Parts: sequence; C-alpha cells; structure tokens
Amino acid sequence: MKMRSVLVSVMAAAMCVVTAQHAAGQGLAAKKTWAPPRTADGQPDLQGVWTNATITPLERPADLAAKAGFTPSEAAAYEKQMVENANVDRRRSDISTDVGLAYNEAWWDRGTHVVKTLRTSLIVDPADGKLPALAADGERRAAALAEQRRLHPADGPENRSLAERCILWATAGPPMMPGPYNDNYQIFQAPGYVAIVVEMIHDVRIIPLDARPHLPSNVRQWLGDSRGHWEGNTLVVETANFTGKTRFRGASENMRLTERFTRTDPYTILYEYTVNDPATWTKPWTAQVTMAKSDSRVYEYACHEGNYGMTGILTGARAEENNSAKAAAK
Amino acid sequence: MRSTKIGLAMGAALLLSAPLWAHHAFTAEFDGNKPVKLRGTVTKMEWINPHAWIHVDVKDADGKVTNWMVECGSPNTLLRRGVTKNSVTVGMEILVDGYQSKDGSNRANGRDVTFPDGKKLFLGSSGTGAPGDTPEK
Repeated sequence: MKMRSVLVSVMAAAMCVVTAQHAAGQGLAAKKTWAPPRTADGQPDLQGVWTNATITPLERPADLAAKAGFTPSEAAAYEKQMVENANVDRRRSDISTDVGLAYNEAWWDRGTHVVKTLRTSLIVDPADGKLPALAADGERRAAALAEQRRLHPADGPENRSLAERCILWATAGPPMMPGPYNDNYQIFQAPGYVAIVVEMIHDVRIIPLDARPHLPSNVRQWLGDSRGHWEGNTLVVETANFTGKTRFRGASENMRLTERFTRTDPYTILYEYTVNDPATWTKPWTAQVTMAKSDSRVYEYACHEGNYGMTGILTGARAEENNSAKAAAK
Repeated sequence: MRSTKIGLAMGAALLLSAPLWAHHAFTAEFDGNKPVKLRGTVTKMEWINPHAWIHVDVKDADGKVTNWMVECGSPNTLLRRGVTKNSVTVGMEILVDGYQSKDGSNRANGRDVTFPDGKKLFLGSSGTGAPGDTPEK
C-alpha cells in the first residue's frame, strides 16, 4: 500500500513538472509580443533602476531534480515557506557556522520571490539546471587556488578575495547574478552607448554599440571588455578580455560571455547569459534571471571608506599565528 | 501532490543551509571561542561601507567602562530595511550577542542587537511588511 502510494505520488509529481514547464514557457512567449518604448534615438528603452534579487538558486536543488519549473500556486507556496523559514532567529550548534552566519535574516536582502519565469534554477542549459562538469584544466586551476588559499590564507591583503579587497563583487558581473543584498542596477542609454551602474561594488560598465573590435588580447580588464548590438528588441552584449584574477566561478581569463537583455513588459527585463570557457567547463552554460523595475534608487557603495574588516582579518591571522607559536614553544 | 509538497520542503531546507556570505568572511575576523554578550550605551553609529559599525560603552562589574565596536550589515541594506539614523542613537541602551575579534581587541560582530524591552533592532525582514517590501509587479 505504501509503495503504491509512493508510485502515485511520483506520477503526480511528473505531471506537475510537465504542467509547470508549459506554464512558464507560455507566460514568457506571451510577454515577448509586448513592444517596449523607445529612447529619443530609437533604441528599445531599458533605462531605469532594476533589481535581480531572487530566492531562486543558480543550480537546481537535488530534491527538485525532476522539476524545471513551478506552477504559479507552487511558486507562491514555495515563496511563503522560504520567507517563514528565513524569518527566525537561527543559531547553529556548530560554532564556526554560527560565527559565519553573522546576521539574522533582516540583514540580508534577497527578496521574497522566485524568478518570474517560475523556473527552479537560474541555469536553463544544461537542462538539468546544473553547472556542466569542470574541464581538466578547470579542475587543476581550482585545486591550485584552493591549495594556495590553504597555505596562505591571510599573509597579506592579496591573499584575500577581491570582494574583501573592495575590487570586485563576485555576483556584480558581468554576468550580473543575484547576490545576498544590494542587487540593484541602473541602466542608462545614450546614442552609441549603454552604461550599467552596479550598486555592488560601485562599478559602471560602459558598453559601446558601434561594432568596434574588442581591445587587443594583451589588454585585460577586471570587468572584461564589452561590445553591444541590437537584435530586434534584444540588447546583445559580448564580453572578452577578462583578467586571470577575475575568475567568475573559477573561469579562465579567456571566458567569453554573451548577455541578452529583453524588456518583456513595463516591469521586467529578461536577462540571459551564456558562459563559454572550454578551459574551465566541458560545455557552455546558460542562465536566465528576471530583473524587476525598482522604485528604489542605487545608493553609493564606497567600499574602501570603512573597510575595517580587512584590518580585522589580518590582525586576527597574526594573533592566531602568535598563539600557535606559543603553544608549540610549550 | 503529496510528493510535490515534500519536494518543496526539502528545497527550502537546502536553500537555508547554503552558505551566505557577506562582504567579507566573518569567520576570518571573529573568534567562535569568544562569544560575548555586551550590554552598553551607544556612543556612535558609523554609517559606512562595506559594513556599518555601532560603538558602545560597556561597564563591567567593577564600574570600569570599555568602548566596543560592533559590526553590522551593509548600510544600503539597513536603510532599505527601514533602519535610519534615528533607529540607533547616542545614549541608547542595547544588548549585543556576538563573537569577539580574533585579535582580542574590543570588537564584535553584531549577530543580534536587542533593546532593553526585548525588541530586536533588526526585526522586519523581507516578506514581513518591512519598508520596500512591496508585492512584485
């Protein structure tokens, strides 16, 4: 009886998957017929403040492996549950984790919604919603970096992450990913250019639209070198010339990124990006994020202003070394 | 449908257990072996990036006063949450439950900040009607 009940449940779940995928696809297709307003020089208008905050994870959780998308009612139930679970005062018995948690949920700002496509992961290709396997070279570089961090966790600021050093924020892009807070962007358009102001960590990406070639390959930039063009109502941006230290999710400096911005209704940009880096992943992968029009504005994020954290980390590391040396001398 | 509900529950649990990271690693800055509970009077609030800091005078049993620095979240996010310069003011009494810095200085992470009447400073998370938490269009 129990087994039969499980089987029935599995079949019902499979039917829900089909329904959800259908519903998500239908919604997007309908929205694609909407015609966006134009700027004075005739570009589709993407301007304004947008937020990509979402509770949808990059990769599909294992327990939702067979479920590419939610139905609207499932999405509402998931969101409600997530918010309820998050708004409790969490303590962890594992002390290290408890220190790392640092704040209660109020200190984060991930939003309360899944992406508007109702997908269960941001990754749409591969179809399983997971990052492709690492290529051999990608594995080798990841292992070398982990070893470097193990041996030299905090000799000096250079050993720490680019975010801690106020240089780059791992999710700020390109590509632009939802992060734990300050997921705000402002898009400006002028004849021949699109500029994207990123709140985290206060960068501006200026994208020429005049079909000029990329910079010479020996010129490398933290944010890469972006070139844009319009395909119908979609802004397509190709980015190359990253540095070897940018390392988006472990990518190499030769990562090629293609982003697509399509305004699907007055309140939404469908933002899709494809990462192509054979030196890191065995095949390209693509993610979709919906960006929502925001009534807020982009605030300053002057990161160096009060980065006492870096001092605290380095003095903390020296204190630990002294304690170890004292213990060894006993 | 029953299995769908179970699936949703597990998905939520997984997301919550995923590591959350701030601007920098608190585990590198603060010591899990040094939990502190500080009751003190606010002397200054620094609204600075990447993280705001509350300064507090803490009096010990002998009456000796020590000034502590307590690390908070990103000021941009705090402001969007409705925390303003009027939320934490000089002279206000607060209780901080956190961990002391690894270098032994008088700094702590402000894991929880509570007022004497038991109210939490940072109540009003997303989805609870906090400022800016508007329905999605």
